[in-house]
Amino acid sequence: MTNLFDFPEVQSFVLPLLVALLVGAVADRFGLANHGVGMIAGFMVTVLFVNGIELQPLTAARKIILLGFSAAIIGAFVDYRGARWPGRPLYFATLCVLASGWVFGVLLLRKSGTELLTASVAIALYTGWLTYWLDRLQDDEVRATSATVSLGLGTGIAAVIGSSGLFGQLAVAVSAGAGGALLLALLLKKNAAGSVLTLPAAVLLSLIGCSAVAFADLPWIVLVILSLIPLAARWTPTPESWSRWLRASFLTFSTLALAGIALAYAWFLASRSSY
Amino acid sequence: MRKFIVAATLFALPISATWADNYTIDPEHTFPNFTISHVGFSTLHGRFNKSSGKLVLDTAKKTGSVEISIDANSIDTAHAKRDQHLKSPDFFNAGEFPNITFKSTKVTFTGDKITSVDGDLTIMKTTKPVSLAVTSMKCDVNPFSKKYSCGFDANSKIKRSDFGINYGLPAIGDEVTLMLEVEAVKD
Repeated sequence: MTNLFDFPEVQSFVLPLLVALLVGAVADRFGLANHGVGMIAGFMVTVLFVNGIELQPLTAARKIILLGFSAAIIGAFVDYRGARWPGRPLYFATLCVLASGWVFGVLLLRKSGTELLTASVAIALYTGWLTYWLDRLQDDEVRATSATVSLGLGTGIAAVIGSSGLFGQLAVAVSAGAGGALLLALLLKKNAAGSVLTLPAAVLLSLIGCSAVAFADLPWIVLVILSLIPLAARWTPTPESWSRWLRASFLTFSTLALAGIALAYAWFLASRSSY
Repeated sequence: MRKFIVAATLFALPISATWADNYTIDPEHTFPNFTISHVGFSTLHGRFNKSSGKLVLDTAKKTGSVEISIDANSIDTAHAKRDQHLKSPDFFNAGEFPNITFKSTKVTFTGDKITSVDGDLTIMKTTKPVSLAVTSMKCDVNPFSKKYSCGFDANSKIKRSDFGINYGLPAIGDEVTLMLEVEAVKD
């Protein structure tokens, strides 16, 4: 008999969503942190299923997991201290770009000339861009979590289309965890995503997206479309008269539409050869 | 002068008799193959198109060594999309670990022929001992290239999960049959 927990859908969607809801609610009750702590808890449950606790050999995927977890700790600390300073999004973006060097350094060192330059610039731009714009969303939990849900789902399914189930599962887990945080934001009527959500989400999804290109077969253009999601989440107008649920639904569907375009394009390219 | 030649010859003979012969693997006639169960329905065959390495054989002493490096990016299952998936981090993670290596630790002879090669197989930085059963072997002058060559066929069974390749388990089989068709030209 097939174990329920063997199903990728359960590992990467159902479990992280439930854990995010549970941990986020408990954290909220004790005033420990923003709901984002639930998202990272849900993500780590998926990590246990798809990777276990092994860190050797230290692959790019394992480095990304470590960086995501570290980003959550930094985010939680920043939230706890209430640290806000001008240029913070840029500071976090720079940190994420530097972290991408650790993940992709080995691969980049094997390239040379234009190929090296193009890949380095593309990775730096994508990781920096997502980190900057997701951090700019953190004061509005509905916008931040809607963007993360769509970005995670888009990145995850795109990674699967690009031939990597591992990266796909990890990204969808971030999406599911953010979905849990979004539900909590609506149910508890709180309004702060915090760095504990936006920073690890940005680190994980930007690095997973780049990995799906670098180590699998995802075309860069798909990431270009996905990179518009935080902008859509920030500037999509939602009238004050709308309820939080309507606002959340509208923002989520708006950003999911962009993810849908990216996926349609990825699917179009991949459909030229069936599996 | 004659004494010198005789002495030199006598001195050199035992040395040449113990010299091992070095061979370089012929990449055009060396193909690591594998088979694996595809969801229990059928058996998938695949191979790696690029490999390199060295053989050292001393038939007099019945010793030798085998070193083979396989380009993980050259995997070929006659299906481009599947090959891309096999190169991805779900399986061989060829972007990060481009080489699969085998280094012998013990070569067993029966008569003049190798019958088994024990060694260390390294996939994605994970090294496990593997014993290859050699099913045929021949060393002779290749009638086409006129070069002295040695070749052998070998096989073994491994578990991919031992090397951290866990994707799709248990639907996609864990047991992989490895087959090596090796030809090497004497240096």
